[in-house]
Amino acid sequence: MAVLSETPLVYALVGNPNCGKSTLFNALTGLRQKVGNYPGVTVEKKVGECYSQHGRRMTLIDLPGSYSLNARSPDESVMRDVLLGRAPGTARPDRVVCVVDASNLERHLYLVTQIIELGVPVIVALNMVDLAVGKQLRLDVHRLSERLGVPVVPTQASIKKGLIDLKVAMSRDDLTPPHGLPDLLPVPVRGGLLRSRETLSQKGVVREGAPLLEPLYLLSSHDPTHYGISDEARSELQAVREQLEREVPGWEDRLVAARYDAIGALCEEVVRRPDAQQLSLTDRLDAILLHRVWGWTALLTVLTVIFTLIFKVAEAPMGWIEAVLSGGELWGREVGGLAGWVTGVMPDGDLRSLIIDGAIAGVAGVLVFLPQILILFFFIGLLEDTGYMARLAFMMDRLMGRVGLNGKSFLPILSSYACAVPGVMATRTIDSPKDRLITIMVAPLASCSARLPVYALLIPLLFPPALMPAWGKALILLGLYAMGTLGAFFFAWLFNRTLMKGVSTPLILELPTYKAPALAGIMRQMADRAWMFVRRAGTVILGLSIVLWAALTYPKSSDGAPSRQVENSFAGRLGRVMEPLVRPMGGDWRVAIGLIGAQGAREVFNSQLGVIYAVEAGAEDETPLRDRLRAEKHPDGRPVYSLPFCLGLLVYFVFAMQCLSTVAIVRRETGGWKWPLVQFAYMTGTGYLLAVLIYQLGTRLT
Amino acid sequence: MSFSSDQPSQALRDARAGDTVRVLRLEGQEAICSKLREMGFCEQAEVRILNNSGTMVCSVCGSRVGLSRQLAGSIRVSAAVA
Ligand SMILES: Nc1nc2c(ncn2[C@@H]2O[C@H](COP(=O)(O)OP(=O)(O)O)[C@@H](O)[C@H]2O)c(=O)[nH]1
Ligand SMILES: [Mg+2]
Repeated sequence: MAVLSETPLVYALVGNPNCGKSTLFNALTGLRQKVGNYPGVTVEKKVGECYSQHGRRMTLIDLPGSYSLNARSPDESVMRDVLLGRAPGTARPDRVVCVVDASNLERHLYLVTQIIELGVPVIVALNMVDLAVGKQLRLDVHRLSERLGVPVVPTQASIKKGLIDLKVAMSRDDLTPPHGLPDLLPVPVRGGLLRSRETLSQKGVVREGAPLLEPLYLLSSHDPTHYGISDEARSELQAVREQLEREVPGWEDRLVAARYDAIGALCEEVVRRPDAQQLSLTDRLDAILLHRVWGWTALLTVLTVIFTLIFKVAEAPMGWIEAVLSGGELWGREVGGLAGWVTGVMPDGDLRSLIIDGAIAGVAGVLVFLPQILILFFFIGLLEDTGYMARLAFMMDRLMGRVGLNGKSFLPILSSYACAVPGVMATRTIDSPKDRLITIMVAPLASCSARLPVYALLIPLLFPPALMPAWGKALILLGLYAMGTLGAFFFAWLFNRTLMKGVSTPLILELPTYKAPALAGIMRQMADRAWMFVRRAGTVILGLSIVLWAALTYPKSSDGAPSRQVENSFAGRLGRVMEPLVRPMGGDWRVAIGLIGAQGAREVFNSQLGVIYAVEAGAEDETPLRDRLRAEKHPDGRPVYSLPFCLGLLVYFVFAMQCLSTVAIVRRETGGWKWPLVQFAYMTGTGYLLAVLIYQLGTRLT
Repeated sequence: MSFSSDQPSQALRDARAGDTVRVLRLEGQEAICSKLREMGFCEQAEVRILNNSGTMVCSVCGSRVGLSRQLAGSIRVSAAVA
């Protein structure tokens, strides 16, 4: 096979959601990737490489999980399109590794029965053998392999067990397409499909020799726009289906039943179960966690604990980061930090000011929130990995139903608490196009981690420190999160009644077994996300901070007083131009500059203010930003950061769309500028109106 | 397929936790029915109800599947079987 060995063998990795595909993919290729715990986390195509036993290059594609080739959401259609060779830019895989959960064979073999009909060599990775052992199941691997007609390799991807055997199987030259289970198609249907394949391939709708059921798989999705099938081809396909339905009524439903019958018979043969079926730990936990009263109690407790910890545990490391960068108290000693060191070694001048007031002040304003963001990501990872996240979807289903969505839309919204970008991408798991669009529209209302720095800066300013215990701050934070969430519900309801009509599909989800979290995986995921955050601080935010510093420092004013300097600088002038817009909500021109910067990324607000006040104060003053804000006065002597202003500003941040990355992803996912613009208008408009309202009412009342 | 029409039936939603029932037929939109079938709720399939307080959780095809009450209302099942 000298010629073949030049080109890599392309393997597709497929399976139901949560069967361990990504874990296996990472173990085989060493590529890092997100490991999630509810159906449909893997939304992007992931490609990796490894080498066969004989040194031949093998390309692996990790695909989103799906229960069936009958794709029902954009996410599921990825697997179908890749396997059928219809995904643009991806070659049809030479072979398929089908990952199944050994503890749950009946469900997982359904997809296998479809895959082995595709006419490519298949290897079954019998993953999670440890769970099967835990359930006291005994599996006859040889018999399974014999009956399916494909190699079956037991693995435990989480501890890299069985990988060598899997690689050996993948390296075999002699794999042929399986003959598979006995023919499940009724004879007239098979004949009809063979005939229509001929016609369809002549018209270029499917390729020659395509899998017999391909026309039906292509028709299964509700939403035709994603799948690159022309209307013409679609009506051809529809004609085939109708013809067959006339000839053999009900055959499609019976095919599903026939598959399950075949699987049932197969499992009888290869799986030995323990005699007594007891209620498992998961069932007993579900009885509590899904309960009408206890379930909600548990949910609210979990959320409160998370938010309290975000403030409480993060306090100390935040102090360290601040001390190391800008100076302050570190383990009982006063340190000058990086800024102090630079002051010591560099002569006074523009360059030193650039480094201290531009770069360090800007980056420090954002970086101090790293601990809080890490804690948030840690808990999101924990919820996903333990299996609780899928339960949350059900807890929320009734609530979501009130606003015309189903519980599946809650998962993307929940991811959006970390970041709206993966949240919007996660909407690909949603079946109904209407639900999906509405979810995309409202997901960014979930308070993402970029808002957290701003919240953390502003919340302590609401009341004097003496009146604000940590739990009080946590409560306010929880309130802001609740406000975003309620806002998302409200707008979902509104959109559902006005802009977008259509049917939603009711919720059905496999509920994973509760399990102890894989801490290593969560840590890796945290590290990845933290690195993204730090990189942003090091690039975008550093850049913007330096730009702002320059805009504040030039043109040089003649009399040299720092505050006069800032007022007359480029930024100061721009701020003054914009000031009329922010005055109704109680801000001054400095706030205007901050908000302009925050338009690209919310957390920039902090660094903008940090830079403004650092430049204004000059080099000697090292008061922390928050104390400076507290002392800030309007020209008439009223404090700028008063209760109504801070509250209004917080609410503005809850609602306004201030994130370029989100706008970009929404444009990509909705295929045009219309929806991102609508989204921008309604979110920012709401935020602004509410902020003005709060400030105006607040100042009148106090 | 008329084998089930004369059997007493109830909605899956009304079955009690702990019961094992048999699916008789699916009602409602075709697309949703076929999704249900592929999740294992085929005619004649055995379903054990694990939880029915607020959220329906069933054991079907050896795995734990949650479904909304609305959906559980569209699945007609037999009375509890032994
Ligand atoms: N007990 C056990 N857990 C596993 C095994 N393989 C993967 N997992 C865990 O199963 C969960 C889901 O895995 P993932 O790779 O994200 O599944 P995917 O959705 O198919 O990509 C993760 O928490 C893994 O740590 C295994 O062999 N045994
Ligand atoms: Mg995955």
